[in-house]
Amino acid sequence: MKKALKYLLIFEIIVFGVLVGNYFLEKETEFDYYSKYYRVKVKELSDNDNGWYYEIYRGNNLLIKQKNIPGLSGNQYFKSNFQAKKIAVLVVNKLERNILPNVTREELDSCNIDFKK
Amino acid sequence: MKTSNRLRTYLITDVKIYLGLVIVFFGLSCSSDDDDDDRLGNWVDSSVFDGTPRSSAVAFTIGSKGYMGTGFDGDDYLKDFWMYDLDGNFWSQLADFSGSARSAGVAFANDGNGYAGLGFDGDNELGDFYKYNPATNVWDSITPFPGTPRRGAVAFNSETSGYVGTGFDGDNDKKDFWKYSPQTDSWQELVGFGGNKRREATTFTIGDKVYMGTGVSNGLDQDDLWVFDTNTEVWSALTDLDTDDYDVTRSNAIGFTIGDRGYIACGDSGGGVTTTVWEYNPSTDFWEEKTSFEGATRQDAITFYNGTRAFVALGRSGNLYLDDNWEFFPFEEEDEDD
Repeated sequence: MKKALKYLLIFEIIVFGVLVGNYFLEKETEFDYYSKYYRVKVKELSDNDNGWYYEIYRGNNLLIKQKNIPGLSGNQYFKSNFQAKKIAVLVVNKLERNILPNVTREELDSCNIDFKK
Repeated sequence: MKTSNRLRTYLITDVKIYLGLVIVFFGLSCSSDDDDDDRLGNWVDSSVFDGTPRSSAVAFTIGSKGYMGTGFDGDDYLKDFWMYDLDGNFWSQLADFSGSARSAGVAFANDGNGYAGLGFDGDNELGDFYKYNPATNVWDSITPFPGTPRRGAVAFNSETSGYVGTGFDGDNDKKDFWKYSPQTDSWQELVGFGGNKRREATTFTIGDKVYMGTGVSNGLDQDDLWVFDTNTEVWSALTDLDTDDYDVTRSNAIGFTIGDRGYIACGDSGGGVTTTVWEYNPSTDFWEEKTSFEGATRQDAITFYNGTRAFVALGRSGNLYLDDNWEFFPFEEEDEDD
C-alpha cells in the first residue's frame, strides 16, 4: 500500500507537470512572430469582411489591433495571412527601434501589399 | 484501516498544498495602497505606446474611442492618425490625415464625425479643414476656415455645431471665433467674445457650457476665464484664474471634464513646464488643486475624455518628446505604485 501511495504521488507530479507544460506550450504557439519585447498574432476577420488583421502585444498587453490596412483611406483589409504578418513585423521592428510605428503607403508598396490606390 | 487513514492524511495535505498555492497566487496579484495625501486624484499609466514621441497633435473623442494624429516629433511634421480604444486600451492606425503634415492644429467632434484643421507646417500657418468619418475611415476636405490661417487656436463643439477661435496667425494673436455648421458645410463669424487675444489656450465642456481660459499673448499668460453657453451662444466672464487662493494661469495646457467638474492640467506656467492639475467646480466658480500629473512634466499634450473617463497622452518636455498615456481618477487617493 505504501508503494501505491508512492505511485500516486509520482502520477500526480506527472499530471501536474504535463498540465503546466501544456499551458506554456499553448501560450508559445498562440503567436505568429516574436521579437525581443513584442509578439504578433495574425487573425482572420469574422463577420462579412474578408481579410486578415494583426494584433501586437507587449508582454500580455494588447498594444495595437490593426483591422484596416494602416494609413489607407477606406476600410481596406489584408488579402492574406502572409501580407498581414509582413506589415506586423515591419511595425514591430519600428517599435523595437523606438521610432514612430506608423506605416506609409511607400512601405505598403515595397512589401507588395494588395490595396486600392 | 491503517492505509486508508494514511491515504486520507495524504489527500488532506495535498488539498492544503493546493489551497496554499492558490492563496499565494492571488496574494501576488493584489497590491497594497497605503499612500496619503491632502490632494485627491490618482494617475494610472494605462498604455505604453513606446516610440511614438509627438507633441502638438490634435485629438477628439467619440464615445469610448479617442482619435489622435498630426503633430511634430522633433524632426518631422506628421500626418498619421490613430484611434485609441478607451475600454480595450489598444491603438489602431487609421487613414492618414488628408491635409498636409502639420502641428498645433485643432479638432472637434460632432455627430459621430471628427473635424480637424488649421496648424503649422514648418513654414506657414494653415487654414484648411477636414472631416473624418470613423465608419468609412475616410477624410474629406470641407470649406476652409474663413478667418486668417493660424495655429495654437482652440476648438470645441455643441450638439449641432463646431466652434474655432483665438490662435496665432503668424503676425498677431487672435480673439475672433467662428462657428461651423456641418449640415450646410459653412462657417459664420461669432461676435461677442470680450476676452483678450491669445494663443495656446484651453477649453473643457460640462454639459452645454464650454469653459475657455489660459493661453498666452506677447509673452503674458492670460488670466481671464470665460464660459460659452452653446444654447444662447453668449460668452460670460467668470472669476479670474489668478486669485489669492489659486493660480491656474499657463499656456499649452490640456482641458478635460470628468462628471460635472472641469480640469486644466500640465502646460507651460511661464516659469517652465508644469505637472500641476486644477479642478474647476462650476457651481462655486472655484478652483482646487489635485494630485499633480504623475508622468513627466509636459506641454502640448493631448487628452481623450468622454465625460466619465479622461486620458492624458503624448506632448513634450523641453526637447524631449513623450510617448506615454495616463488615465486620471479624480476622486481616488494617489497611489505611486500603479
